[in-house]
Amino acid sequence: MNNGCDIAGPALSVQDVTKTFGALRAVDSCCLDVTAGVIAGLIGPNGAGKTTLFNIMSGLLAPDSGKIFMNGQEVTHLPAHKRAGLGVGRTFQISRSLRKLQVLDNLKLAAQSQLGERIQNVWFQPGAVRKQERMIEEKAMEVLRFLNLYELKDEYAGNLSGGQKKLLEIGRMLMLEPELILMDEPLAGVNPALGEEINAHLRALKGKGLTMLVIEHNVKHVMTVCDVVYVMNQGKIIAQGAPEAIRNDERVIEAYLGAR
Amino acid sequence: MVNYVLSGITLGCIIALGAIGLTLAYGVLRFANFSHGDTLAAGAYIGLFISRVSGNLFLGAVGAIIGAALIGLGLEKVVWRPLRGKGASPIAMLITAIGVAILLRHVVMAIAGPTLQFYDVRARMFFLGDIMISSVQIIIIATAVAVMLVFAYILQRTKLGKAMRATSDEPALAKVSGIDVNRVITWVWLIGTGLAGLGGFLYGLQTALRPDMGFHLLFGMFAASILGGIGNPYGAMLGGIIIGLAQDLSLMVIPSQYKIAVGFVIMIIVLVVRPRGILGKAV
Amino acid sequence: MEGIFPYIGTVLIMVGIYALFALGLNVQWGFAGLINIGHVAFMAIGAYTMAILNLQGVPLALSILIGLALAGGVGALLTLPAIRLKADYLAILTVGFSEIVRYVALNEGWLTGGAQGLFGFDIPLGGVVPAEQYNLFLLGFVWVTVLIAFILLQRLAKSPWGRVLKSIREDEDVARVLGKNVSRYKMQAFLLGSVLASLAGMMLAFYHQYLGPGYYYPMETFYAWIIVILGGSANNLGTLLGALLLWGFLSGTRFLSPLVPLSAYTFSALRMILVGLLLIVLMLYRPQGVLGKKKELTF
Repeated sequence: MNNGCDIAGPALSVQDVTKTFGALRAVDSCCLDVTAGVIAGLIGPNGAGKTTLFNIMSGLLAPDSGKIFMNGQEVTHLPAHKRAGLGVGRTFQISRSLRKLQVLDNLKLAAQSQLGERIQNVWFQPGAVRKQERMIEEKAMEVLRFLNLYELKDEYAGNLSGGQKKLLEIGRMLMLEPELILMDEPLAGVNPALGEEINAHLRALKGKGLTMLVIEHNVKHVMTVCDVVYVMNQGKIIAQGAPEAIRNDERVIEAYLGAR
Repeated sequence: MVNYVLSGITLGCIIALGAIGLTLAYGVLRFANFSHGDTLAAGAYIGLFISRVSGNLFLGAVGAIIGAALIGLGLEKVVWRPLRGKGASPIAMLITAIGVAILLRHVVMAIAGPTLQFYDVRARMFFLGDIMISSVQIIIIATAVAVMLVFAYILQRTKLGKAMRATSDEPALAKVSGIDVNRVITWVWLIGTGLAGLGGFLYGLQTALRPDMGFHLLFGMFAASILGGIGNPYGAMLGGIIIGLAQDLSLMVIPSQYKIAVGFVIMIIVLVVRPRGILGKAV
Repeated sequence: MEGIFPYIGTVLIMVGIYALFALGLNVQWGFAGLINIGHVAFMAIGAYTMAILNLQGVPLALSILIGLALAGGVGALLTLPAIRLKADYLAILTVGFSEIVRYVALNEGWLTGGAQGLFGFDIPLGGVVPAEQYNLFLLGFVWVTVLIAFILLQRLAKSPWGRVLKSIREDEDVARVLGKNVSRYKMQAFLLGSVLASLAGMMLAFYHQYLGPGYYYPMETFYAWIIVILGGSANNLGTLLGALLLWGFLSGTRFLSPLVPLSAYTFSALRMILVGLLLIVLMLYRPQGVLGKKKELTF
């Protein structure tokens, strides 16, 4: 079992990343490599630093030290909004659907390279903007149909149930068409049936060649969906490997028991 | 130059008194109270009225304190608490405070009229070598310092003070550990606006009262609060003195009309270089 | 009866000017969620630049354009600290900035005419339109401008740009991970708002054929805020309505002043007490204003 600090050409490479908040080392020299096209899981007890690491990877937080590479390109100090342009998507643990936007708008927002997002185009190229909007809207409706959310398209996202909001987050990823998705607990608080549905979506995305790094607490889901699992505790990666190996790893068991 | 130091400290004491209430409101309620300056002004006018009616300056001071405190309490009951109850965001509170500021200022205008008002004060001048001190300055500084010491005592030694500090630092924790947050809030308003009223009264001892005086002082108070570390009453006291000193000392180098800009510039520097101010906790 | 119509005309000119001013604030607050309490500064920057240049001999059209550009530029510059600061700090910063602008206007007489202000600058088509008809012309000029601004802003509101701004108002991080450069959008909104404010400032100067520091008190910004909130934040039509209502109230009550047994000073203070009360009551009981939608409220 290697240490994970390879400088290879994986989809995602986290090298020696550290982040301290005052006296707390939230992320401690983390190393992580995710090969393209796999679903990797990131597990660990609460407070292990998983979401902080995610925030650093998506560019919402700057690390104190270390580097992050995505598809071979260094992105450590790249602003968050530019990472989306590189094909990186991110969903949030407590779904952050934009409650005051309608569901359809939530999805349309995620499309990239929109002409209509530039003031001069809105005023001086309205025809081109309209045309692109129509295409984006068609795609958004397709995604909604696929997720069985079509009837809710005009509903304010704030009125959706928890599970529907999770689906909306996935829908945004489908619109974004990323190559790498960072998913923070996509199944949290979701009923088992919907959980299965979401897992199926994840597998389908993998089938399209996407790479995913998923934070998940539900061990069963992790075992069934992930190809490789990383375990984080107190800011450090303490184990990595195939799911079955991890499940039986003593350090992992100790971490979870100790954290209680 | 010493005269500038003296006048600066005098002004600083007044700003400090006002800044305490401002910073407390921010610390405990997360609320940038844009009406604090006009509350201070209202207190000053009430003090003026009482001192005229009673012929006694001391009673005027008491009137200013109580008057301003009652205004603060009244606003809490009628405006701030209901707003908080509706889940208003700090921005909503800020905007509402602007409405309250407009209201207060024009009530003062309607009642007091357009002319400048003066307290009936005759200052005696003392000389210490080259230094000229007026009795008014002595009164202001002495009163302000005494009051701030009492307040510091309350903060450090009394249950109320500890509750106030706890609520300001960790509101959720404070609630859970049994502190009656509403009671703390009530006291924050009473003390904060009461001190402002006193500040207004002291200001009036040496400067003519105008209905818009509140807004001018508000800048200094915000600058003092931010400089000292927003949410920290000791920071407000320290910040107030520094701002007052800086404003008056700056008269040695810049034209007097830009005095107010000094506080503003200091505030910008703080926000850019060290947003948490001198005594604030890391943001 | 003959006196009424020109009076209504002048009221409508002021409604138009304040509508333009408030539309600018609406872009900044309603669209982008930026708390600008120094909006009047841009009125001043635009008007003074135009007047100073024109009085130096620069043709009016060019003076206007430079004034707009300068206001936009300063606005854009102001966003650099603005986007880093929390909303309350931004509020204090902006109002401090506007007071400093006013102080400079008041004290730097060599540049701005000081307390006496500036006059004698050209007014649009001043040589062409006869003096008695000028107010009528200005009424049209102002309202055509308001209409154009309104249409352009409505287009933006319903466009993907508007959508991005809505998302930024609610949750910047989500906007970021979806690829939106939040700082750039905020800067654009602020710039747009500043340009509109400067245009309003120039119109005011054309109307009075004079400008002076007394026109640029923070109270003007407060008026814009009341207009925006009264009409409904982020709702451009609401802003127009708000301008009509507020200015209608202020002008209408001015009419009543001689009929009321109070001094003019006291009466005017009374009016302002009502204005302050209006804002308080709005925020307490109807923060979405007349035309706003409660579920889209971002307070």
